[in-house]
Amino acid sequence: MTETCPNCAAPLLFNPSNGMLDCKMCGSSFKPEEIKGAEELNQAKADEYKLIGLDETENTESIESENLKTEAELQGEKIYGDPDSEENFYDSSVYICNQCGAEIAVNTTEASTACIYCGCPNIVFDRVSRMRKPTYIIPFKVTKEEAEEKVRSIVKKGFFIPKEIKNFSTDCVRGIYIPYWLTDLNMDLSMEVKGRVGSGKSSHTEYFYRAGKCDFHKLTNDASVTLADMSSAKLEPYDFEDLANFDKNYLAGFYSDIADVEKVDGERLAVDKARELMQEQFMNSIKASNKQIITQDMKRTVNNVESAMLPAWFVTFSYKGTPHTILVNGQTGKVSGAVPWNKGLFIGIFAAICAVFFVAFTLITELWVPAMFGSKSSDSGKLVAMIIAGGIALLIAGIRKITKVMSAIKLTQSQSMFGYVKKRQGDL
Amino acid sequence: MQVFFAILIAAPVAVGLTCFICAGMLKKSNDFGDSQGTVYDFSRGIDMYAEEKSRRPFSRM
Repeated sequence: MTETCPNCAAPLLFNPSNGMLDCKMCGSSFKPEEIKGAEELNQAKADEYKLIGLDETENTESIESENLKTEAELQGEKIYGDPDSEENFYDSSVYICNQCGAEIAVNTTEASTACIYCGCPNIVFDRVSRMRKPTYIIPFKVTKEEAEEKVRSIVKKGFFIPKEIKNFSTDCVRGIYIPYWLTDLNMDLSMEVKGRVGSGKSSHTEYFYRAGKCDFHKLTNDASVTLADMSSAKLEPYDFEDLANFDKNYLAGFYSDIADVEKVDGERLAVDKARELMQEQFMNSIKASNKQIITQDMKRTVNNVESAMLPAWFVTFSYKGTPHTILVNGQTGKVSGAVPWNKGLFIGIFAAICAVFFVAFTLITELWVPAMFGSKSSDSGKLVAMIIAGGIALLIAGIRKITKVMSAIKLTQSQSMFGYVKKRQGDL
Repeated sequence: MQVFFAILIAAPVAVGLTCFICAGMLKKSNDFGDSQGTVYDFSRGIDMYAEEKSRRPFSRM
């Protein structure tokens, strides 16, 4: 819940441009750490009671329950902390979207009008919920106006972007804290790979051994099922220089997504990610074709798993009746997303370039063909085959690139995110 | 015959090259933010051992 101004009791909102809590009513500004909420005051009072022995029964119970904990639980607490401790929670309002099922915490007095994920206006305020406090937070640095401006300027530069999108009118711009797991781990990976080296008659199979150690520090994994993993990956990297201890005052005026990936799953995902990153490095160091991993051995130690909230702006606009959501990193201002293209313009440009290349290549080849037929060497035939194969390879690479753009566009459109959410929930 | 062969060679190269160039332009124009995902700076600590042979097994296996 939001803090109120000590001077006029109006709600305070976090201002990313100065890093302060601003009161829009009387114009006062406060540092987040200066504002001590009612919750903390109540906690302080409770601590006072405990000190003078008024809460002895509760203390005894907690000691007894502590003794009942198994060694495994205590070991788990070393990494995860005590999950049931009252200090690990804070209050927040939660709404549920009737269309996509997203659960979003709203940390402001402002009533929300649309779901930040699918743009659907059918949202229902559900409850005031006890939210688990993350360990860290990166406060917003980019303001709402700056986020919208960044999207506008990048969209205006796009050559194939339709005019309607270039001059889009924003449906909504929402600042949201995305939950992440930050994992510190050491990984020791070794693998044996076989691949083909050389060409023609000298081509042969070679075996490669790669082994390495790496200490991963604060490896990120988004802890939200609702947000597509590809979207959160595109928002990265965040600069952890700005990582601050969690303070709920930073949430004032923003939404926060609810972490629904368990800590244990976050740890497993981090191990997978670390392994994939090391594998990629190993594979890049091998100069061969048709690379195949034959054996692999992995040892890892997870030292620490902590939760964090990282900022992002969701800029939503409609094009041809479909909502599109562009994401902006709330710390660095990096814009991620993809928008539909002007197909007529694309086909026109394609045809023009293709015609120019075709005429030029035909003229060049026409001059070269007599020389080719004149020589009896088989090298000319090989050269022709190689040129045609090169053209086909370029065509395949181009089609793959276009397919990637199309998947990115689908991700930006709410329907795909909606489908993704439904799929993850097992409804499809 | 000459022209036929010239077209046969030039057509796939022209279409392939155009497709590659236009796809690059489209990606630059309409797809914002790279898709590389997590960026991790391995210069901070990866300690890699490499060995290559034409036969298995390796000494460290």
